[in-house]
Amino acid sequence: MKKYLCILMLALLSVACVEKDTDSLFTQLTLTVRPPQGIEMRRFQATMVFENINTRQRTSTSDFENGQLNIRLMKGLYRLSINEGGGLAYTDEKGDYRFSEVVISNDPLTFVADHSEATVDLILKN
Amino acid sequence: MKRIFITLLAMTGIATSAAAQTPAPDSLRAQSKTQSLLRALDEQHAPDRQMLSVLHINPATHATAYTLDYSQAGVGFRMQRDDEAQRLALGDGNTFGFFEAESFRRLSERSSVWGKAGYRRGNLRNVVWNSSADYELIYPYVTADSVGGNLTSEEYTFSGGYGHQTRKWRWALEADIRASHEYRDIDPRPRNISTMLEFRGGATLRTGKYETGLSLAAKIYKQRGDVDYYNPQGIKAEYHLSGLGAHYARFSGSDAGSLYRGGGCTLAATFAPRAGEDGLFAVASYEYLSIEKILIGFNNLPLQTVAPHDVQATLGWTSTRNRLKWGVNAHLQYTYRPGTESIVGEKISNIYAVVGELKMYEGSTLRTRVEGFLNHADDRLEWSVSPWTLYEKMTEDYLYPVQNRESEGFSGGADASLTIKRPKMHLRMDAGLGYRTIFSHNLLLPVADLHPSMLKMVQHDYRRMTLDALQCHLDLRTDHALSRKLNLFVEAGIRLNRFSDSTTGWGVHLQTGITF
Repeated sequence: MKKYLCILMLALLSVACVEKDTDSLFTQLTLTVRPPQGIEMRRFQATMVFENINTRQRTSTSDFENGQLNIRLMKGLYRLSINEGGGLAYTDEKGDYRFSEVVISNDPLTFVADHSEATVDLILKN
Repeated sequence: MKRIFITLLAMTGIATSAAAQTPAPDSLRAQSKTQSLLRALDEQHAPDRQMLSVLHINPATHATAYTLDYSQAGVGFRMQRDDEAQRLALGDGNTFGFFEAESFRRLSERSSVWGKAGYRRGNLRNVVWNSSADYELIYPYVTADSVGGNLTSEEYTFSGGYGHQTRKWRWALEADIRASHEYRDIDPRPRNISTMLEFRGGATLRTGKYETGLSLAAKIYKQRGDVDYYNPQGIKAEYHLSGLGAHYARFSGSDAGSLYRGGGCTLAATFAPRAGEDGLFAVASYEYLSIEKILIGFNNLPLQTVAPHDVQATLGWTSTRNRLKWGVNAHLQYTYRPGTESIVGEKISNIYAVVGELKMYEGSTLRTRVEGFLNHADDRLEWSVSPWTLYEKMTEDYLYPVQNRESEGFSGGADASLTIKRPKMHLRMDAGLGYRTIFSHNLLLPVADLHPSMLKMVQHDYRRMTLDALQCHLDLRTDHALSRKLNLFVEAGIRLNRFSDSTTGWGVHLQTGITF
């Protein structure tokens, strides 16, 4: 009888001591911005906002490097947007250096894998 | 629902009368002539029988729980008031009128039937942050609003079982049904109808003085509800709570109907002395339940699922020496309650696809109770003393944004009873005193991320659950023999809780009826 009680207690303790696995809640996202065809991106500087459509939580970052960022987000369905003022410095087909504010499509994106990749197309405002 | 209940009640009557009409063996008939209903009552209230009632999780053990036939039917009233709600979602009081009937009959030396039927109707006071029924069952996935109010509540219960004994084996089947209806007649107007069906089967094998048993049970649960507003000016958002101060924000707003559905099973093993004998007894059980919340108004979208696992173990001993009985037992219960939320994808052609699931909520409760009793009975007087202690630890986590609520406490106390026995009357008095102290607690909330009113709700519940409390109760019951086969009983009781912040809660009940 003592043996069975010990086994039961150990089983209960093992269940109680399981660490919470929060890593599985998140995705490591690599996001790339793609300029419109025919222009060459020189510099992209903007604050990207990720709104989780289900929870309404918003996360923002401007940590772009060569038009790419890495961010850890909770898995979910997101609507991406670029804050006012963010923009793209580029050279056009004629080779002229220009700067333009940009927007992106507001179609939602789904990130449910442990590692996700996405590319968003930049739309020049002017 | 009432019609179903009346049908079920009629079936109880038929079952009982069938039992009464079954020709009993001569030995039993002779015994029944001499047996007194008051003796049957003593058997029902005997502390050793009550301690062993934990074995009734296996219906085959229930089949020999009592040696004397006993039936009781009564009507009553009960009421509870708290200065402050212990949990806002459960309200700060209730008032109910009720009818209850129960019966245990031995059809022969080999078989027995038992059953219960009940109906209660009344109201729950000041229920806030809860527009669903069966809060504790579906928690944390309740539909809720910040307005709340009183709720009208009615509940029907019915259960019945049959057990049969062979030379070494005994088997039994049992079924329970519970149906409830809760609603409010002013805005916001929740209306919830829920049913729980449970079927149990079990068997025991006799080996010497002891019986070893195994039982299996299956449960089916369903709740349908919605919240209406008749005044379009006063509409408040309904939230789909996700645990502590979190909610599923995308679908908050007007509630077009929720469906909770699920089921589960229980496996239990029992080890106990044969009926009427003393010795070691042990019970171990595991229960699994899974209840899914579906939003009907969003094309039957499965939104959240709670799937509790419950493990219980009891080990005890009873003994009798002359007129003195004693018993001890230790009970351990661990409940792990994970909750998952659907990742709902983009809405396409009015269809919401579920693209994933996240386990966002974890709750656990550990309870250890040790209790004992000492009982002395003779023909004129019976007394019992039952000390008890309880250790309880509760933990709740919402995983992101991180929230945590936990408490750890210890309770202790003693109950005592005295029964004065006269040939045609029994008077029983029960009294108890206990004290709960919470020696460790913690609340972690990301204040900036939570809805302010939900934050207040969580903080209120936390404050109440971490209070020390003094608890006492006094119950009186008198049974008078009206005839050889009919007794009248009257029962009354009062319960008081005094909390360390000087608030109090009290409850009273009154019941009268017949035993036969």
